[in-house]
Amino acid sequence: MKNQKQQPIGRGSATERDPNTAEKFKFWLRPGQMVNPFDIVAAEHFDGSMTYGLVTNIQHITDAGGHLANFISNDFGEEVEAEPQTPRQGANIAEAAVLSNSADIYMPVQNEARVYFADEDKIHEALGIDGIPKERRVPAGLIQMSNGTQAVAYLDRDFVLGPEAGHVNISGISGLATKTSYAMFLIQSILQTGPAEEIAVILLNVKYDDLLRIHEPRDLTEEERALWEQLGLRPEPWPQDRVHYLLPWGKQTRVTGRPNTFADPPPPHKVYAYALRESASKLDLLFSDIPDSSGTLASIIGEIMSGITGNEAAWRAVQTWDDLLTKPPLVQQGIPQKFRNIHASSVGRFLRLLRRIVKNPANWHLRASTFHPYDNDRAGNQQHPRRSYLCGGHRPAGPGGTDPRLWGCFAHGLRSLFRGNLAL
Amino acid sequence: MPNPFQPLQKALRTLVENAEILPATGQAVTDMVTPDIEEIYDRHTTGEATIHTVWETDARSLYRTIQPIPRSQEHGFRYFVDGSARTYFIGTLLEQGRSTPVQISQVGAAMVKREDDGRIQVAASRHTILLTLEKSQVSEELWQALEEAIRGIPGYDLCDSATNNTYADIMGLHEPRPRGAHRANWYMRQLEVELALTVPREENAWLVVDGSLGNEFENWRGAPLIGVAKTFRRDTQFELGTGPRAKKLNLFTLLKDLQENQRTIVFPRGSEGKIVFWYVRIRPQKALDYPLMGVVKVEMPNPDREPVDSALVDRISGWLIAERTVTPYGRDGRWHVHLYPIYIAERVIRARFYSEEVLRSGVRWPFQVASP
Repeated sequence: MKNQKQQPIGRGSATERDPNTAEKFKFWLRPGQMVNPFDIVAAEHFDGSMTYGLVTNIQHITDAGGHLANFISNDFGEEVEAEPQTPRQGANIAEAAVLSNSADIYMPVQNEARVYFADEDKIHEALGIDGIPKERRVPAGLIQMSNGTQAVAYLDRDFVLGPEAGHVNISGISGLATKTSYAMFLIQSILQTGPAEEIAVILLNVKYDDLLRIHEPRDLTEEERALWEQLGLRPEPWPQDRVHYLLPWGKQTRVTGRPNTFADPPPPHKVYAYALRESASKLDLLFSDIPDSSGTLASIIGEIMSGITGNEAAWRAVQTWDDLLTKPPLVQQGIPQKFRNIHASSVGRFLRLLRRIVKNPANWHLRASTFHPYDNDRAGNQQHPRRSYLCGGHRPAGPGGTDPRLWGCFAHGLRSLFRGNLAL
Repeated sequence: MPNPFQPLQKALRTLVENAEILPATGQAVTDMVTPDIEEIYDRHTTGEATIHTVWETDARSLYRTIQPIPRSQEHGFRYFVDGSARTYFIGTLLEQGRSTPVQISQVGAAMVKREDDGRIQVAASRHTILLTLEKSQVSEELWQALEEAIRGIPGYDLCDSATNNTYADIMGLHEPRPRGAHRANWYMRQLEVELALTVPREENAWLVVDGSLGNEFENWRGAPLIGVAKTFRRDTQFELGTGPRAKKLNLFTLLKDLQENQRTIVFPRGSEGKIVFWYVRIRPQKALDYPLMGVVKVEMPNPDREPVDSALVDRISGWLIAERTVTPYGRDGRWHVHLYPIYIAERVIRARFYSEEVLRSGVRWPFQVASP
């Protein structure tokens, strides 16, 4: 287990005030040695084992009692150019979070323990990748350390697509498109290394036309191509015949056919919209973010949902969103009406909220009289049961966010699309 | 970690079995050395307090202005020596109506080397654990038994606090416990001298010894060295010249006019000038509270006894002034006169000392537990 090829980069350091623990350890670095946060290091430990740590921070310490000591050391601040006659004694101290131990020993790393850069095999051991069967490995990225070592990081397919789990958490700063780009890469990786025919990918485009060109190739540098190859992947666009863009109905769609989208020109697409009759069973999702402590909104929504989906006589004349806003049973001559045991004032509030949603220029897809994808795509759906669907075009929510109303409605539409076979 | 003081057990058992022991309460207690030994030793070694002559080739002025010479320009001082000692009282030995404190000391000295890029490396070091008693208060048989118990253990030594104890002698100390502590300091001084005289150095690699130079350096003709005293005797009088231009100065009047980046003229130590000395102000007075702060006394062997070359003294002083960057301000009260590499050498030694906790746990009297 002892690493004989590499030079140690430093040694474990535990002090009275700053002890090493089962969770983290510190080590000093030999002069001139550089490490960076996120480098993975290996420290010699009991029974010839290695404890692996992820560098989280690096500190430079000196024996100066305070900044004043450094000021005075430079001739009371007068000397600002020349090198000190004797450089002050100092050391670089790195802090590492314990990832694992090769023999499951979680005693703290000992003082003076030799510390090395982890090589590719050790990185895989540190991250538990060595325990993932090769056929289940999904390339998730390339770890590049400050000493030049590179290692492919893998995810376990069983924990990404099931049955063990089905979740990947991508964290990062908003607005840089890095999280989205990574998600796109990871999906490519999953499709290229797994049983693509069994996987359907649904993407919600939430920012402008970010994802409305994924079927088109992009110019890659040689360096970028090399990175893809290193991961064992092909740098390809999404297959044109497998990508289906679903774009929302817009103000001008009825006249020009153009959907409500930032993409200009739009990619090959189908337009979708939510007609009241087809969406009534999910009406509650439109109001999911509106406070309703007294439950009056829920009462009205419940009445509408059961009335329309049950085709009750009182609701038969209500065919569109406009009908709901302007016609009985909720409205007469423009005045909200009491409906069963629901006060007119509560109905009025419901109508105001619904009007604000439906009349919002961003929500033209709520005004169509039919749900287009459902009607138009049945035949195609039967021929290609597994494919990539991409929905979007405009920005319905805040930065990086997805409006739950959009998601709810879209989920409903997709259920219809997949005839109830899709779990969402 | 195995008990580093285990080798002492045989000696302690010898004492327990052959005499009565009154152990120190709570095991070892630190013995502090409060007087400024450096100043006292300077007074002891320099002899006459009055200086009548100067000892350099260009003696026209009492003060000479010096330009700092940084390492990048000329790297003169390469080696630095310092030592450290810590003494612990562990009990009182009673034998045949006589008594002596029993003390353990950790003593060490280190020589560090400064490389071209300024980095410091350890060139050599010594580390010894002393067992100190007053030999005259112990029977001959017991002393011999102690010597046998200690002899041959590397890094351990047995000392008599009454003899070979120059520091305690020149301070006129008679109390056995302070004498024991000063015995350790004198032992440290001897380790420093041993390093200075025996560790091979390059021909022009100057060594800086911490403190005044002892008489053992009077005829030194090896690789060049100087002693730099942070504190020094203050009763020195200077009666220079004759006739109407004669000057009579005490140390304070001499140094109060010594400006930043200046040195004094060179004086002989004693009448023969085997060792010469001068003063250098390495820090400006404006930032310090007292005229003597920021001034170091420099001593240099002069075996030929000829007036020393002023240009050489200027260069040495220039190197010294450059040593003011950096300083252990906040870590040592003598920061204004402390040379940082000397401070590092001291840290090297202290880092090798066992902590008080280890010493308290490791040094235990091997008393027999009475059977029920």
